[in-house]
Amino acid sequence: MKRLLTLVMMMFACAAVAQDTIVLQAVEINADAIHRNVAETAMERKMDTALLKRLNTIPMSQLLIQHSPVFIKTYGPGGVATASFRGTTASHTLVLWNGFQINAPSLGQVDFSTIPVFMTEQVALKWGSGTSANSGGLGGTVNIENTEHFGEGWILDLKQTYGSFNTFGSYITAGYSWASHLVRVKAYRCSSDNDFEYNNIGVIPHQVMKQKNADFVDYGLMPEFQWRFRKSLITIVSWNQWSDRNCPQIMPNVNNSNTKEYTINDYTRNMVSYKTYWNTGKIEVKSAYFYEKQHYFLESYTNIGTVVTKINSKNDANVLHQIAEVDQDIYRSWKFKGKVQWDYEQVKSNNYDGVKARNTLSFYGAVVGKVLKPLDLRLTLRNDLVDWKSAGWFPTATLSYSALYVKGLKVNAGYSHNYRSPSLNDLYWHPGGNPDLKPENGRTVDGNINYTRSFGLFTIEGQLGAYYSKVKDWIQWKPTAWRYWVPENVATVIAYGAEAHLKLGYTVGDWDFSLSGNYVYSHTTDEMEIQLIYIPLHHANAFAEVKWHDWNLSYTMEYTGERKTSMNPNEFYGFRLDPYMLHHLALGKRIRHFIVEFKINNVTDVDYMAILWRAMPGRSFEISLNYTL
Amino acid sequence: MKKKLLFLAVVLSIAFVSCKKDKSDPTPPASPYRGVFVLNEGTFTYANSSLSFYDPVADTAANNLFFRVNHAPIGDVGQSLAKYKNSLYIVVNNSKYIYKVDANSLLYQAKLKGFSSPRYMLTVGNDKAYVSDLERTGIWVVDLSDFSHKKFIETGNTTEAMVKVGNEVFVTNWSNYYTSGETSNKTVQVIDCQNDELVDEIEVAQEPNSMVVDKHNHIWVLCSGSYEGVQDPALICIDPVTRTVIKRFDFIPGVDYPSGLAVDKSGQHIYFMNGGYGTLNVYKMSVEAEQVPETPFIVSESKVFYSIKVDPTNDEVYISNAKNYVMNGDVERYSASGEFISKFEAGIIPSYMLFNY
Repeated sequence: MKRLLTLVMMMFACAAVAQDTIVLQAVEINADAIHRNVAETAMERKMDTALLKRLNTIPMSQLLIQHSPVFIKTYGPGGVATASFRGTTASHTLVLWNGFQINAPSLGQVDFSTIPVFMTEQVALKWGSGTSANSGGLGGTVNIENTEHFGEGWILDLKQTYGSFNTFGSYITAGYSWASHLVRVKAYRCSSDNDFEYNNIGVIPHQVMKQKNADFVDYGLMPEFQWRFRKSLITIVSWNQWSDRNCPQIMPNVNNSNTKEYTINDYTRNMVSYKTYWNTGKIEVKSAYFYEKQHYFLESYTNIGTVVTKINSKNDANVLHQIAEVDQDIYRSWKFKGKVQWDYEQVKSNNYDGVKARNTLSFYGAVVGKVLKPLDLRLTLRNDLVDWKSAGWFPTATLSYSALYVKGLKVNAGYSHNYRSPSLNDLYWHPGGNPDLKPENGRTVDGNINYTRSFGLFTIEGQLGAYYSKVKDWIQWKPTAWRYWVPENVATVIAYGAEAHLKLGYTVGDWDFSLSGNYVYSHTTDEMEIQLIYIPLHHANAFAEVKWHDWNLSYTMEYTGERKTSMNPNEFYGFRLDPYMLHHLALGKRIRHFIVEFKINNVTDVDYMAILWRAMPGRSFEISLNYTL
Repeated sequence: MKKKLLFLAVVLSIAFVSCKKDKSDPTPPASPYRGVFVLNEGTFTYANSSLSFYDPVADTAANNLFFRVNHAPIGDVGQSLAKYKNSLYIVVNNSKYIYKVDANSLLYQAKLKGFSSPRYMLTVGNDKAYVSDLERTGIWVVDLSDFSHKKFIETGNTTEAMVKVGNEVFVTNWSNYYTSGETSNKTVQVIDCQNDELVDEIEVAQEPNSMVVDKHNHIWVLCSGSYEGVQDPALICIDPVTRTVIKRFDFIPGVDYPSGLAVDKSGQHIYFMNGGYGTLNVYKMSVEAEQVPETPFIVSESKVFYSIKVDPTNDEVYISNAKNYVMNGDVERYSASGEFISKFEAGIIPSYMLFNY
């Protein structure tokens, strides 16, 4: 049976090469089917691609908080937004773009507000043993992929948005897709005055005022080239962004007209990949060069306008990545995956004493296959050499059981051991950087139950999972007697929790209903058993959508539970962040090639804080017009 | 299926319920305040600075008084306190303003902004106060009668600790971080506080962080030494009349980092902290001593000592412990001979203490 399947797949693959038909797209799908199996996908969740396309004008931070189990800590629109998986922190969320780590080597984090969904085509979340191929994702990884497009002809997609606070967005995708070539460019510009009204409860007396110095402008450009020949594929992509953002003051400080804070963050991420398939496997060699400029300015002025302070923090990072990976069927259902990766990260910063660099050479191997008919096993092992010294051996194991008598039911369990190198800021920031820091070391056990089934017009997808992680040598910056901060391996952090995901679909006549939601319980404590700051015990989201003919109505809910802002066991009410629930509505209609959409964000005008004393907008509106050829 | 829907419904209803948490606080703060106010810095950029009060007679403490009375935070990094007439002044460093509150009720009275990085406020008589600034090269003169800016005395260096002897104010030039190293960080400047004029400058050692006046009316200046470049931690004694250094005790460069000078009621003993991170001990020294003490007065025992103040009524020594800087710290109370008396919980990074009797 399996051989027959392989044969069919091969036929598809050959057909794909030989013909100029729509079947071509099947190549990648079949290749996936060869090399992926149950245990490999056990600890991952793919974001719905139709949803990604619909929501392509929002930043990734908003997508994740509204549609995934990932928690986002945000400073508000245009402000830094970092992701936390399973109660860990932003530094423990690894972001991979086509397999390359895009976490800034200086800070070790990714600002998800600077990743527009528009620049992505496929987003998958992985956790636990799913993160085994790379170091750093102690909480999880966000995998952003470019996908293949052949035989689609002209590509033209234009989208213009306008919303409250003078927020403009222009998005264009243009190109041509031949049977074996693709040339495509994505470009966008997004800007906002971001001068929303809010109730400032940080001043005496409380006062309704407008947010100041929060405007931003972002540009992006992504040219892409794909060429397919025989059983090979060459891809060249360049992801470029420029962003200029002002940083608003915290609520008590808003009357300081003599201070200005802003950031300039530009980057270019370039990659070239060569992939070739054969009947039982594939090999991919890829190379990337990233440059990232992160500049931060803090200026304060005297009453007559002379600059008295100028913090001008400049970080320029150059990163080279080389990856060679091979997939090979070995025996019966058993497959092997191997990867060798070399990363060179270099940061030039006026906060360091000279230019600092790090080499990481990583060797990774995985085997996956059936132990019993319903039982899949995946074992991985990685050894990294960080600056030519071994960081240790990091194994993972995943077991997937597909229930024999309950169709669509799967049970997965995993164990993983991984590490995270200190960021270059942790090591070399002047003053305070601590070159003696050890890497953080994390072990996770997790499991989930999946149920995916269609009953005629009704579809259901459910997942219930639990995890337990222990991270040793957790790095924290602490103030010292010298009055500057020093990072140290201070604590062991225990994170455990549960995740629930449900997605329902129902189609009847011209009506199409769908409902999905996530709920996460994350308990993360240090050795004193005190919940870490800014990690809510509960957060949840829900999404409901109704489609009828060319109409589309959707509702999104996001809920964030109470958060503490200090390590006090009982937070004082003034510094405790209350839970909040936001509701968003969108109504759209397709008219031939056009889609018009009207959105109301924060419909109930909830007054809330995501971070202590950071203003957040109330109700806002947005209208968008989309043309697709 | 039904169970999952039910589960979701439960989650949603919990969410709705918990949204409506009451923010009222039933505990009225104690008043009048006879004892010590403790200003807690809070975490930088979090604006969770707070005001605590401890009554040594009743051995009771109350926290978050400012917020509880005024329903708003003090701001970002509460730096120091000053009292004048019946008002308490709270200098808020990274919020760049000074709050004036009623010293009995702690009710908000006024706010004075326009500072760059205000540090300490010293009343110099005639409804006048000086405010030092970490970023500006000089001293702000504040009129306390209407709580307004009066003038700015340009001194060429950023300013930190201040003491008044006679009609002169001595101010340390602690930092040149914000002036790109272009100004002095190893001098004490002398200002005539009747004419608000800079009259002299005395060279001490790198980073003079704190200052007290002893029973001989001599000024003690504690210099931590820089963390980079020249490291010359020293304790220096100045004669304010001749404006010369009359005593100098050097610490071990690169090892010692002394700070937090305090003086007792009679001006006979001074106290300071010295050591490294997590080993910052408290030392007590007679102003007549010929060398700095080798044996600590109080050993930190892994506590993170942060500031010292001596009760002017009974010479009891109050030492704050910032713990891990992200949770409420303690203030420990010792007798003049070093016996532990009691301790109380304050806020995050308890720093400035003001005795109010």
